[in-house]
Amino acid sequence: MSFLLWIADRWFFLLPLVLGFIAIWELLPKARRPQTLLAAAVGIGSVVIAGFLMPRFTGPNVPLAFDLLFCAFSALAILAGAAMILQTNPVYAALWFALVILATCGLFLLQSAPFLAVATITVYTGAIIVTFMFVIMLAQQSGQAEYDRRSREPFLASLAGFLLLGGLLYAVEVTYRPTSHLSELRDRLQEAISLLESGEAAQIEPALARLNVGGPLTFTDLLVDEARRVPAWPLMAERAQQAAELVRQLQLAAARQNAGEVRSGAQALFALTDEFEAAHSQYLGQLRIPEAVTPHISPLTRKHPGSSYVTGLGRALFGDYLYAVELAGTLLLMATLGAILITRRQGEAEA
Amino acid sequence: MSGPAPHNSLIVGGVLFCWGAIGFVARRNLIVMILSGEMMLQGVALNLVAFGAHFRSFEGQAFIVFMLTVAACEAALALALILVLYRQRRSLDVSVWQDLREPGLEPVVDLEPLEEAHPVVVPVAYPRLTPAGRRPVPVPPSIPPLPEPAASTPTSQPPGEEARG
Repeated sequence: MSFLLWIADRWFFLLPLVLGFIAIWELLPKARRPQTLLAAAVGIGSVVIAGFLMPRFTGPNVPLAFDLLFCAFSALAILAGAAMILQTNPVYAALWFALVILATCGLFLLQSAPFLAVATITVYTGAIIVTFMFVIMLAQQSGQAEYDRRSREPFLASLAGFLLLGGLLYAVEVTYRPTSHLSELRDRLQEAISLLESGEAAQIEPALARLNVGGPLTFTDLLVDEARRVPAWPLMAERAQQAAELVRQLQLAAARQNAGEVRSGAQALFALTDEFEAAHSQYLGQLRIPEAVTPHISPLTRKHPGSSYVTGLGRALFGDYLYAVELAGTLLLMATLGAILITRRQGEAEA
Repeated sequence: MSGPAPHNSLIVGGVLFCWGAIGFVARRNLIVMILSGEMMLQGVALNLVAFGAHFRSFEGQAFIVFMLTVAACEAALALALILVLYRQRRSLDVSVWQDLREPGLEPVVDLEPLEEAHPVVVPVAYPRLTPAGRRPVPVPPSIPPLPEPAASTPTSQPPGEEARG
């Protein structure tokens, strides 16, 4: 039963996952002719449903254009990526991959990484895709090869992939789900306060029933959970303890049948949840990127505050990571030599 | 002007990573497998950018520069290996190399025949470069069978000689 509840609580990301799984499984190349149109419709539908249902977590004050661009680039990346692995012609697969790269470069730009966007386009679409195309042209046999029209264990492969995806999404959801039970807790507190408005002792029981104090998942636990949901909140432990203490006083007041005390206790709790809510929204606001990314990695970088983006990245690369950059350069050289040596034919090696 | 929260990018990066994983496991064309691996790298890059923006540091972006380097090296070496493999068996199918599998595993055999209704694409002629100093030959309507490398260069011929002759 609790498992069903768990699923019902998370249907908004389980539904697109299941639909996407069906679409990918059906569309992976296989001997049987797939229901292409139907499966493609299901797949696109699952992406659209995910876009509408998944908590967007954007927080307040995000411009609409930003949201729209993000959604467009994400949808493009996801759909083009799916098309790449489903494509039976490797030339088209490489072109779809180029589209994935362009879409992710758009996402890079949105996250204030313009240098990386340009570098990725140059390296991937400029160099890697072209090399892939060369090899495809060199090795491609006429028409579509049989092995391109079959895949190994399409059901198990897509099942494994979607289990992995579900795990990743679950981790993100558990970590960053912003709303949780806070609004529900506040509603119940509000109801209890209004029930106790008259100050009659007879209303204490129903009011406490609203707060579900003493149930399997107690009000205290939920409140403490809410306090812990904001990572790195300096007042977290203090506020959690305060919430537990307030609930205990509420129970004592209820035992004394003092409606006024219970009511003021509930109001104090409500004021505390106000603070929780403020901490939540502040946390969500902090998650957004400020206008300029200020470098603060090393003393070398810190010497030049307010330097521009490329300057900061350059200082990080050629200051903090100088050895790594040299190593990467050596690695590239070795890889080039290795590629040339590997592709040499036996006869040429001796000549 | 503000940026997106990192979670959305984490989700998109995770989806790209899983697409790549599915493609790498399921597809049989060596080139498509390597492309899927590159797509997994791209998903990781998206996560790194999102975290770098979240923590307001350049470290995530610096890592991606190294990732690009390693991806370029990997692509070069993988394509070289694919060329060598292709020369040996004249096929990009990974299943022709399945005698490298673990001992005790059954070989994978395609039992189900391909459905006739599956669309068969007519061969397309690819352009070919004419070596310097020769008169260009018009492209034939369909691709001629690829010459065996041993047949085209029967003796150990330096690569430059063919162009001169």
